Amino acid sequence: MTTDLLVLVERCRQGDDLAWEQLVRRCQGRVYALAYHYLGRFEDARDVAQEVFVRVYQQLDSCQGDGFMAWLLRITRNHCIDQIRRRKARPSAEDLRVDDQWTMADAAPNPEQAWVADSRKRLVYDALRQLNGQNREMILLKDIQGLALQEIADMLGLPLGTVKSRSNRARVELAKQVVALDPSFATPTDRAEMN
Amino acid sequence: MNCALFHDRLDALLDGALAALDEAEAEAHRTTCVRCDELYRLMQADETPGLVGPVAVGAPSGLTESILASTSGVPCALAHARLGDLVDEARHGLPAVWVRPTNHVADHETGQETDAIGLALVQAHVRNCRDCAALSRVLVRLRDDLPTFAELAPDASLVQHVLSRTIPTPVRGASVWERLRDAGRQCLARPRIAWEAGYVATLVVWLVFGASWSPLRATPA
Repeated sequence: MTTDLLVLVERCRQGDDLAWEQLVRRCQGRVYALAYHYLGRFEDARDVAQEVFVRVYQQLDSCQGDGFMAWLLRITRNHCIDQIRRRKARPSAEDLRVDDQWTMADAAPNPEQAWVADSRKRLVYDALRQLNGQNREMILLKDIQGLALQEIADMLGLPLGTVKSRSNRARVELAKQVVALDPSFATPTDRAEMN
Repeated sequence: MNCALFHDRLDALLDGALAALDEAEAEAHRTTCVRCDELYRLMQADETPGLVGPVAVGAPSGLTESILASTSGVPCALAHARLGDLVDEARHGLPAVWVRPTNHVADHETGQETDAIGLALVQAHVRNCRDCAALSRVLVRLRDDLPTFAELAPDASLVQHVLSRTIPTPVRGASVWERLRDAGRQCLARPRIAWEAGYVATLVVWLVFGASWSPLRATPA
């Protein structure tokens, strides 16, 4: 967590609404992206992002020190899981065809999907969708959001070693999926060589 | 001719370089001495075309794999379990680990000791396993690509909605009517206003027509 984010959080606690606005602007992209990766729909991600920030505003005092981002992403994850549970309990016609969202989204490009237009990112995202829930969540939290293993362990209530092995396994599974979708992704390049 | 002289002249005898008289003496000794005759035959056999001497011969391709298949099996699964660590260590740059492995080094993320020699073994496996090398290349690329998914810009109104729901901003001097209107707008902006309105409407209908004390309960339809 950068120092300026720490400062923003502290000023928010003191009731500085300008700091709160900056905090929302600074963090909305990550909350929105994480919610989208969990839910697969921009509308739902937007609703969840709103709910998350309202919750954060109400509970800002309970955030411990420099773990704000992990705390924020944990709240986001919990909201997403609640949303998914609600969907399963009361699936709408739209929910039944959630996999078609990508096709529908591609037909109408908008600024939100800028990274989807990149074929390489699209490939990685398609591979990500092929993973099971556990592996996808590890990729989301560790490799995409960049949370530390200990933070993930705290969030999921798992031992650190378990999180680490799951993370490694998830990455290898993702790599296999990518190669399965496009074998040329594994061709040697100077940039990809480790040694 | 005695045995010592025969040994001295053996190489020349095999090469056919002895004088006729010396060669006759050597042949005569060979017929009388079993040991020298045996030595002569062995030396002659070594020079027979078709027999190979101690030259460097590389192991045939696939020998390692066949040996592993009949013993421990190809350890790709073990390597896969640590490929992620290998990629992470490569990012942090630990050349000393590969050049001169120490038993343990501190993991950059967990702070725990990690098995450096084990990582070096994984790296050696990757060098010789085409599938694992391909996977490690993909992992390196994913390591760079995945963080770009971390942020996704929502439309600008998200901030406005969040601020309107979190920061109460009564306008000084505003009339009661204006405050009520603003409150109504904020209420309508709620994401689940339709559900909430439906719930309230159902409750009102039940109170009017369904409650036991309602005078309209007995009204015929």
